Amino acid sequence: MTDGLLCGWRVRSAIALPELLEWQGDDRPPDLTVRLGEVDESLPQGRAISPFLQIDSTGAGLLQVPMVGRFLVRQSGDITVAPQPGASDAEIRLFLLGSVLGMVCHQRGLLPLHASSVVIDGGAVAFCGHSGMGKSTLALRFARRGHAVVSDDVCVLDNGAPARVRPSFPRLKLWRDAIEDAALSPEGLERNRRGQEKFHFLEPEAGVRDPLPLRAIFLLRRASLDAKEGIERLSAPLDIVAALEAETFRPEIGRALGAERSLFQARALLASTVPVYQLRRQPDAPPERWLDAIVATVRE
Amino acid sequence: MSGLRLIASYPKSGNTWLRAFLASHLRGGQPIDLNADLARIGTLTSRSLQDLHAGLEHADLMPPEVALLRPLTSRRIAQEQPGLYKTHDSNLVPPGAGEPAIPADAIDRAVYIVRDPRDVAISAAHHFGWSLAVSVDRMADASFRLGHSSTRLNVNVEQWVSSWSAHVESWLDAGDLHLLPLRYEDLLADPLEGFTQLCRFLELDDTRPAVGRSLEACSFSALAGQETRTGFRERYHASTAPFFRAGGAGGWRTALAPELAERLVAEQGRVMARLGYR
Repeated sequence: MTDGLLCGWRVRSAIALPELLEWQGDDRPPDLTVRLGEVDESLPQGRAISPFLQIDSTGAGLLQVPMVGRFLVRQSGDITVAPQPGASDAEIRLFLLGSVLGMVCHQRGLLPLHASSVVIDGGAVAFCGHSGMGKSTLALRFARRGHAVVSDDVCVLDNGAPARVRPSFPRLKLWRDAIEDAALSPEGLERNRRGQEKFHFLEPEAGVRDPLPLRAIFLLRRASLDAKEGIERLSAPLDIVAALEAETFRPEIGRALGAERSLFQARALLASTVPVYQLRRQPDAPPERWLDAIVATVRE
Repeated sequence: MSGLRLIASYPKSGNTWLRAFLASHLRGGQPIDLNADLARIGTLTSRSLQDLHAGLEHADLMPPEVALLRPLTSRRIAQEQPGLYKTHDSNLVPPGAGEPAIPADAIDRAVYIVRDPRDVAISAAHHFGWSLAVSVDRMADASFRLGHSSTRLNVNVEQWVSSWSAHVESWLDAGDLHLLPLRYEDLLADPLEGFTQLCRFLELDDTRPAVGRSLEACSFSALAGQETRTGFRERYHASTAPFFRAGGAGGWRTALAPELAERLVAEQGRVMARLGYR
């Protein structure tokens, strides 16, 4: 199996990762190695960071998803996966390329935002928000218009200025409704979880290899019933830093690994160099009508 | 304060009325904005709250995993973000789990509101967009749950509700909780008395003028009027009536076909009798 490219890292994996572009860089040793193997139920001297996750003093993390498996993630980039019997490949990749990717970022002092992102005018534009706010749905609509997908769920920021995104992979997690609303069919797509009406939609031609400047961040919010929909730029840097803290992927892991300061600095850099907007819309508002407004805002 | 202070009930049993009262009461009896101030008594099962404290997206988990996760998350919320929350969870152990979603050690105290299931059936039918017969079926369904995602995301995570009778008994017969049971009908008949009890239980201002002011602010006509003017974000998308629809007791006598009322009594009668619903 050929090595893959994930956020600039060379990945050698015993598990097929069709989401990733092929590694075409130099012949360095792999940055991340994924193996199948036994993983103990708990980390010696590990402490529970969240209900299904432990971290130990070496910075190693253990994620346990009851019906999927255990993932041991060492600082060295060595990842061991012990799948549960019956777990599907897609389920294992869901957590490997989600929670585990987030943990790798925190171990390496990179800021992961909980965001989907696409390319607009040669730069990355990120959409942040809670589950259900429409991050992936917006990314899908842009992808259908020919915009490359930079990331889904975990948007990894490079260290240093100017702010740049390390592209992950062009896969979107979408509910049946979002797929059908875009006049597509979930037929033949892998399910996010067994029996779930949420699917993995891959745009393999739409991947991005190299880091991209981050041009804008949109915070997706629900407009209250009597409030107007619209896009509004946030101006106070401290408000932006606070908002971005809430949009950080698994911030508790960063805190547990002592990365609080570098995370703060990364968010402060974003706040002072990248425009951050709130996009308020009614729940279930059709995504299509926002695409042009988003592009126009980015070009302002 | 540490631990969760719960306003627990089967759906459509008066929970929102209590929350509206408390939202006003916590602001000194001022009128409330339904779409903003009810958040003072948050929904424990809100997806964003649960995701935040679980460190995982529940949308990526299967029901048995959610059932295993929820008690652990409840303990985290109790520790890191204690306070008043509403919930429709039963106090039962869902399939796949070893304990209820909100274990006793995470609960500081709980108010449990119960309402005549014949009135609940009517209210639930309007709220969820069900026929009355389906409503009566659901109330007898021992594996009834809320928040389950099918083709789209639900704003709440999964809650194991079970049948009306099982829900009521799971809370009211729990021996290990500091619990205040309230009947919706008693609150209607003598609001001042019932809400004074509520305030005392929650260690809030329980003086008559204060309780009276807050009751006035969240009267049925005030809430229904506001819903007419501005809408209510908690109204269910498939709902066939305003959220604040009637707010009364005994509506079933005219609105529920006798055979459905009889079926309800046949299925829930034992627990109804324990609560004095004849």
